[in-house]
Amino acid sequence: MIEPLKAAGSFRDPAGFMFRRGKTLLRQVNQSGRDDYDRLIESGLYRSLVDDALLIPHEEDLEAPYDAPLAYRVIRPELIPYVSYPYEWSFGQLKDAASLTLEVQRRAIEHGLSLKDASVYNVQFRDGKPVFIDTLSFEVYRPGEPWVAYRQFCEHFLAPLALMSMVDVRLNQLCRTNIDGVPLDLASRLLPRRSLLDPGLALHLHAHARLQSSRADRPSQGSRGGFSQRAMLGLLESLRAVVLRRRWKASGTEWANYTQDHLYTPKALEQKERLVLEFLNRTGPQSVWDLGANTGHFSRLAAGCGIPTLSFDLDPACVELNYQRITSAGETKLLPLLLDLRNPSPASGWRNNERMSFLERGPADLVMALALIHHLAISGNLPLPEIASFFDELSPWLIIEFVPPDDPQVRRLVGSRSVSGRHPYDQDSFEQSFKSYFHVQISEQLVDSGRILYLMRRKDRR
Amino acid sequence: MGYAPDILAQMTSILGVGTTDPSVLLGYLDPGSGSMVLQIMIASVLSGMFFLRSSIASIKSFALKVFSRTDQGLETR
Repeated sequence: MIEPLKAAGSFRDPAGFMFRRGKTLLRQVNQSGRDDYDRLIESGLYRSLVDDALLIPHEEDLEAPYDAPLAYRVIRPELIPYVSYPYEWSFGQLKDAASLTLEVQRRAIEHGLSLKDASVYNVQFRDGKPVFIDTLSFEVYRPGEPWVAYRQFCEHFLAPLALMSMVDVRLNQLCRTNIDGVPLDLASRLLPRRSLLDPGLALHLHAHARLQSSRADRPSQGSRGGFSQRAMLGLLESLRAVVLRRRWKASGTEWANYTQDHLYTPKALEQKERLVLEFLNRTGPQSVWDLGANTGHFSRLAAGCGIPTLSFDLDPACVELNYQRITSAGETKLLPLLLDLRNPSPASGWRNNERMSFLERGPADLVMALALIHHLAISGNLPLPEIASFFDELSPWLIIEFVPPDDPQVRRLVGSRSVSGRHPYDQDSFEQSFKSYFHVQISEQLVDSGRILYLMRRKDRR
Repeated sequence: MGYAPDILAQMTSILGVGTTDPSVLLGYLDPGSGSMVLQIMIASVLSGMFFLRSSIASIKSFALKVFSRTDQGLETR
């Protein structure tokens, strides 16, 4: 019998927790969460949310509990193919996650329930759309009481969205250092004066921050009868409006225009597409990670073959454009994420265990690194053997493009860097470094260019 | 910087909002005393706005139904 293992990040809510048995992810509903869980199911809210793909569906009581004396039910939620975090999302992804949370709360109120937390980590992306994943976040609605998760919603969603749209889109990285949400006083201090002209921001962020500070030393107390259901729906409507007013235009960055301005001739581009498809067909991966994907042109070749594909890039504009295309075309196999490979997402939270690092969420069946290696080697000043070792850790299959030193893009990156200050960067060093970890299965030079596309297979580890 | 008017904080102490009920909220998440107070303070405005919006939406939907019926009636004639 396989011993169950409690999920590291699932300990805050006494109503239940996640655990694993083998590869199966399960959630135990404790006796203390019984009434709320039953109401979720019996009220019709569960069905309403699942039918509209707003909540992750689950099956009941197919497995034994982790902690029998505490247990009421064990549920097996549908698995999310890849867990991602808000500091890896584009502006549009965070905005859609915020709208989803508000819609879930609105429907909950209509069914006599309410969200007892509004954590951004309760949302994941599935089939190109956000979905609520915490089945135990619902509690029976107590008429007259304000929303207990109002502050958390503002810290987890509204504050980062306002900062991203009005100050700098890169401020979503504040979510990485503040896993309990961006403190409202910090957001209020960082936002420009014109944010006061938006009544929603003035109220939900600035006034909210001021009241938090002035009452920080007083315990939170109930207020029976002071907050009608209509006021609750009004609050949700007000939050929805302020979320919808947040806008950020993804353009103007260097890489967002790359697909249009890249240096391939039509013939070379066609050849590169053909080779990538051929390599994908040959290897038949179940999952693909496209690193340095830009707006996802080559990721879409993999996704088009029905392969769940992650499309990573370090440029927020590229990730946003990629996401916009997914939402407008209804694509389901692609998930664009923000990632700086030179400093990938770390493990974080309590005991460094609540949020997984980028590497912990691997490996992928196949990694694509197209027109990426020169950025790591030259801009990142990373030695080629180090890069090869990193890819060895990521995946058994690798489609990688070598961009030669005389390529205009490489010359541009080299700029005024002196040769003595750089690690070796040439085709021989590249091949030698990668051959320590991989067998080269196929390599082909692209026409009208010195670039070479390789299909590599990881050597057996002994 | 502290843009929010101090009057908000003063109003809460004058009104005694949020301190009238001694029942401490149960739950693992700290809702924040200021957050609860703010919601109570704006409850009537939120409620009024919601009522207004719902009323306008109902009138619009009623008008649309009436006009679409009239149009259909004209087309069938």
